[in-house]
Amino acid sequence: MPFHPDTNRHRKNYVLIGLLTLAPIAILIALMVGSVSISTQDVFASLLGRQTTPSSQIVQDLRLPRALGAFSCGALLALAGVLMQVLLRNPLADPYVLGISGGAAVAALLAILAGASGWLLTGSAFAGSLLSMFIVFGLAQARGSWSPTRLLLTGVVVAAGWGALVSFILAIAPAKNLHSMLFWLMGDLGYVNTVWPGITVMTLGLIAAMLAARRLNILLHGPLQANALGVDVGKLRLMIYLLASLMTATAVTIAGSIGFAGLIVPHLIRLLGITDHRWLLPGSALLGGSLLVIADTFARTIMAPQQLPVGVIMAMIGVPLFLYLLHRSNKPL
Amino acid sequence: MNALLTVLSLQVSIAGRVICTNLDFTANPGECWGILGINGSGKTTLLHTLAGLRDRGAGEIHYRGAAIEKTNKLELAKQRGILFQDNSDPFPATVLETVLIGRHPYIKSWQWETADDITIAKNALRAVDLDGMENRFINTLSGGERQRTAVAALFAQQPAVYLLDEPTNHLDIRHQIKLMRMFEGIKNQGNTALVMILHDLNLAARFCDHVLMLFGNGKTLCGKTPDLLNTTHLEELYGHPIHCIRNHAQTAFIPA
Repeated sequence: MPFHPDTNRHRKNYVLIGLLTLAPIAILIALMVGSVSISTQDVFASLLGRQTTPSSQIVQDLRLPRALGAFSCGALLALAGVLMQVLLRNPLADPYVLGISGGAAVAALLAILAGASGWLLTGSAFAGSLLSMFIVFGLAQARGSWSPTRLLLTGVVVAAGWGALVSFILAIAPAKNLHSMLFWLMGDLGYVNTVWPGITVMTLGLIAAMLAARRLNILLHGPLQANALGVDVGKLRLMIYLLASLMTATAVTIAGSIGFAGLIVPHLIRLLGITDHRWLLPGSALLGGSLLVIADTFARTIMAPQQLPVGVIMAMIGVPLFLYLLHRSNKPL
Repeated sequence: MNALLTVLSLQVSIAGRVICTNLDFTANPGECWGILGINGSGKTTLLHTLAGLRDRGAGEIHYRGAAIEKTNKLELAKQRGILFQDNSDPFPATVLETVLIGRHPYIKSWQWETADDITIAKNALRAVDLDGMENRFINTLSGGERQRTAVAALFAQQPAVYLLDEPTNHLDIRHQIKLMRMFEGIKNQGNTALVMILHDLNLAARFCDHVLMLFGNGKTLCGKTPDLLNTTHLEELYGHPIHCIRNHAQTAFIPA
């Protein structure tokens, strides 16, 4: 008997409380560990007041921005994943399925090729993802109407085109650029120079998505059903598309293309028995953020001083976790 | 009498094929209309047109005297509710969540369901024999249970006109009759009317007081069941010989 009613009643609360606990713990550990270990007291001391001790500078200038960048990036990808899955009504949809990361990757690699770094690099990545978003949407609705299938096919084909361009750039790029290019492609939080764009888009995006959450529950049952219940399906879909694209573009700009988070985090939350979007959205944001912070902490410590691509670690944590939950009994998927 | 649904000179076509022209009918409170026709005659298309889910060729559709194109979408969702022929669910949702979507027209966009909404949803589940199943995931239900969940969502919507696309789909005999009796009960309470697509002539004979026949070539017939539901019309409609057996109070049609 799957999910006995009485045990399920408080399930949402338990899961959300668990995730609200996980997030600060993940960030705290990210602030403590690294080339220099910093105690809990020192972390709190340096968070509370501006101090000039070396450990305080490490926390404030290096680890905190990186941890917050990782958290917002993971949360953005997970939220965009939920939205894309509703928009396309396809469990295989993820934030990158419509080619947004491909556009960002081509622009970023060209910027690296031109010797750009810092703001110029992140700026090109953002511009590339917006360009891809408009190309896909423009082509998908070329004949007036657009359906999820048309959008999906257009996005997948455009993404394949970007993929070919990425391979082309990698093939002709000088060897000295290859390492940073590969790191960008596999996801790297070393580029985080300011945390505010990520935090702002994450917060506003979550609020906007939450306001639409009840309508997302309805849209999940199909556009006709939603229409029959008084939902303006066209407007809602456009809003989801723009919101998911903006969040993906921001995430890609923060950390390159980190695979996997946007696909599996929403399913992980569903596997925990949460299917109402008013809980699924915040749950996914918290879990996506926490997982990426944990993955990044591993990425920069397990082979220190060598840094590993965070996307690789993310998959190494995510794959077994996902398979375990999927193969448990009493599953909603 | 205040008509709930008024259809005037309606023309509907799909892919260049005319389903009906100059269709006029009025569904009054307490009436149950059965739409009959062979596969592909456009029953579902007509029902979706009546619901305002697709464009019509010409004519007018009014709910309680208000033209459908001038009615706001949420207001329209209080006037008419539709039960679709198939429910596809690519993602899991609980039975209660699925029924609660029926309350959407009554909840302001920023608000959550109130305790009243949940009570209405739970009563709707009890009415379709699914009480205690609130937290089951819909993808673990049988076809009949899934169909009854969709019916419960429609009950929770509390529309004035129920548009039903093969409501007895996937249901066993007991639940078919139970469901039809339930709709009959709703209809008899007063301010509601039913318009349902049926393939079972015997259910139509038993529960529908009016029928609308779609011949698939643009020809339509509508009127009171006793006037229209006879072997002459049915044989023309289905293109197959049909026997009529009368026994006590019941009339049964069986294909020859």
